[in-house]
Amino acid sequence: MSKNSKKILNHLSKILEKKNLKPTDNISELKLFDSIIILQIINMCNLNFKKKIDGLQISKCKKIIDIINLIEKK
Amino acid sequence: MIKEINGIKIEGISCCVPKKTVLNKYSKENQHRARAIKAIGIERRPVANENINTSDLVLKSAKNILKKLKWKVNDVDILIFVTQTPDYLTPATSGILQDKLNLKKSTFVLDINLGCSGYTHGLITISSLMQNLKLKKGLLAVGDVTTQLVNNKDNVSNLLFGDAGSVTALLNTENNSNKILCNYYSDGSGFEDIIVNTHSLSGRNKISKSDFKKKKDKNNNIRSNINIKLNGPNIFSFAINTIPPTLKKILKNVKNIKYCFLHQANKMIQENISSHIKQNYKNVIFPSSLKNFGNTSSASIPITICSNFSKKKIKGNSIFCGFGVGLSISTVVVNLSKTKIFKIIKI
Repeated sequence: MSKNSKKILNHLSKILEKKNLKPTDNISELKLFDSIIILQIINMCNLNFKKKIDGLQISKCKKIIDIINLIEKK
Repeated sequence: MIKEINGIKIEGISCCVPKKTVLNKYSKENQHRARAIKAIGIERRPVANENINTSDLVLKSAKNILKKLKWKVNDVDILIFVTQTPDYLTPATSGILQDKLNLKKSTFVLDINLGCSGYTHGLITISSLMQNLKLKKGLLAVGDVTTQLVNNKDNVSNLLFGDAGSVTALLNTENNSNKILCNYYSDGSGFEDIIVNTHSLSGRNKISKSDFKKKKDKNNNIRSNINIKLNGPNIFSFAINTIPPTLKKILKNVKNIKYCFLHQANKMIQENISSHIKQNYKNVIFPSSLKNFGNTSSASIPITICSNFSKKKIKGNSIFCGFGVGLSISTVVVNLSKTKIFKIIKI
């Protein structure tokens, strides 16, 4: 896992309030994942990585690694 | 491109909200609601009961400002009313207000259908008309009772909106040192991002019985086609990607800007925009009214002004930035140092 991926995972872990968040975690199994979380992820990408991420793309992600890849590829 | 409207001065700003306040409560068990309230930064909101129309809130504001500024009703040459919750589909509510205020028959009256960018779009429209038609005194009325469009089982929208009305009094001084600077942006491809699907009585969007049927979405929000529907992520992306460059352009070109009054959408948007701006312009202040009033649509900028400055002077130049439904953005730069800001009244 790249340094940048770890940084994104760290931010996601704070947003989702889950300390041991893993890239392989299924989003559908997370307690907190709603429209507010999507806004927080868009916000995090904009402020910390200067990247524009689409809400619809985030909502299509199945696992945490999909979100990380989405942000890295932008 | 920044454009200039000359000779127009804002004389006063008055606001009115319903007496009834709804608290955004949550229990420990409901983590989703608790997180949503924390993220949007709204603790309480003024909410109109079903007997209150937008025009009632605006009428009260108008009477208050006319009295306090000692303006005679016969002196008002133009009244523009910006709302997306008019009293009737037709006729325009501005005519009703004209009658209730007893304004002269030669007053130019007009409704504009806009929400959160309505105050700034309205200021641009009324100022331009006043300058071009050489009208002396004008009233810009804005307001909405958006809570009446929200389904109470729509988990996020149900926490966002407050109801309010406001009237801004404008004077044509014909002195070019009083100027309003403005720019505007519209992207109609985002029309579905803030929408009430069925409030039409004609064409293919004509209201039918099935439009009242409540449906659950994938986030468990319940609403029908007569309720307001928001695409939060799209609105959020639009705001945080479009507003900071617009504001930076203004700050680069206009001196002595002390305050930036943003439309009060939610805390995340405000914090994002202010953090972008403060990287280069540390001293610009972003006043807020979100915590106690919520998102009051087109009235949110005047509500922020009146709730923070009714006893203080607003020094320097101020930016107003309205954004939302359409999708649309408009910004206005004004000097409010001699503007009379009145305390918010309640009905």
